[in-house]
Amino acid sequence: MQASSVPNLSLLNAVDIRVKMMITALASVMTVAISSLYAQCFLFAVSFLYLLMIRRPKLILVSYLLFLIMMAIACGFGLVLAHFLPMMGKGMELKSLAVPFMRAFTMLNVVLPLAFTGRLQQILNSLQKLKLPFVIYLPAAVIVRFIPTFTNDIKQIWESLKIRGYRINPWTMTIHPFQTTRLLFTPLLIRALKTGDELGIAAELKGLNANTSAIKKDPPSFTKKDYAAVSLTAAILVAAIILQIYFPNTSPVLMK
Amino acid sequence: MTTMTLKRARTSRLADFCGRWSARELIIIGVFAATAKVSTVLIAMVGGGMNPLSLLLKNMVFTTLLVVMLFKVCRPGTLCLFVIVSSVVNFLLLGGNLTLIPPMLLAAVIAELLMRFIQKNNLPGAVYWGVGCFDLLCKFGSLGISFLMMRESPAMMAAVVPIVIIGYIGSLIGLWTGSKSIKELRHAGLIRS
Repeated sequence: MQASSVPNLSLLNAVDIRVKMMITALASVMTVAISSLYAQCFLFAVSFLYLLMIRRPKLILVSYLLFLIMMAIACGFGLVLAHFLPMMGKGMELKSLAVPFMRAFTMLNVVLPLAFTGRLQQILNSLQKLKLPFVIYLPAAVIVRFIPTFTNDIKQIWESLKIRGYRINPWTMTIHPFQTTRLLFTPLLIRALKTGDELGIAAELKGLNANTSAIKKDPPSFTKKDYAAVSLTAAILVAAIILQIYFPNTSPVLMK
Repeated sequence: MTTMTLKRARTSRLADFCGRWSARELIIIGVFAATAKVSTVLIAMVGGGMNPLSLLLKNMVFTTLLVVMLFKVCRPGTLCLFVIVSSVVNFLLLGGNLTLIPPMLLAAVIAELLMRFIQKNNLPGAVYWGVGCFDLLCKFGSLGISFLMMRESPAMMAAVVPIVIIGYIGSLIGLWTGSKSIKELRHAGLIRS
């Protein structure tokens, strides 16, 4: 959605979407598997450099701020619990908190470039490149194409509610939650059903069915940049595994 | 020769599975997934972040949409397809966490089996039981993943558990609003099943 408005400045735009997906997938597995503080710090540092390549400092700053607020709320809950159950307080030391924090920030670092360095058409092309079956490709393409349309529908619903004298904001949402949801949700549901029927009829008239091929052409092979990115990722993972082996369980809780 | 025959059999089974859905049904799945995504993001934005009421309502709207979609597309495997498609788009477009996909998919498969069992035994409310089971298993799955991520500081789970419980209460309310919506939509002629 927002990815469509990204100017083509980032170096990551030249990297194939499959490589970026692979990096995200490997990072999510590695962050969960690795428990060493040094290995997590290393993964965080490398992934942060990867994030900086999207060249959108404002976006990075806002994402980090939101994430820090969420972390602070989680810590607040944890401290309250530790006050009543001292056994739980063992995991609330700074060193113990470092590893879960690093995990979350590493995931944020790899997820943002994937979400913000592709235009809408590139995302649709990437769905074709993945050679997904038509039953997955068609609904996925509908979602990608129609999220902006639905956003526009919501704007219209919002304006019609304003005309009728309803104000939708966090305060009304808290005071009249069900009324606010009903006002927003009912027209949206009817709109979704109508759009689904209309698009379905149009697709059937065009002769689309489950046996239609989603792949129009052979996906382009990887470029040198893609191979370089894959090699670098492999090297980073090996380095993280070595750090995990030589400096295991540096977190105090795990050492016990 | 044997290998070729086996390959052909496997391909035809896959084609049979994929051929279950018409283009119209696939589009409805896509439209509902998009609506669920947009409306939940909207409610979260209007509610102002960590508002427990908006958490509750977000889950309620998602479950209601899921119930309506499963009544609109009455085919076995629809829930699994919805989960796969939403996960692919989440991953590509909205930066969804990859580790949440396996528990969600497992939850969808179990919910599908439960719905099939209920339908075979001519018991009422297969969709509601299936969606309720799917939501519950999804919540347990996300709690499990959260625990894996925060295993060094289990006290941090104190923030996650209430959020998940509030979310599931929202899902249960969503089952009720889903049944109400189905009645209205049947009355309006928008759902025939």
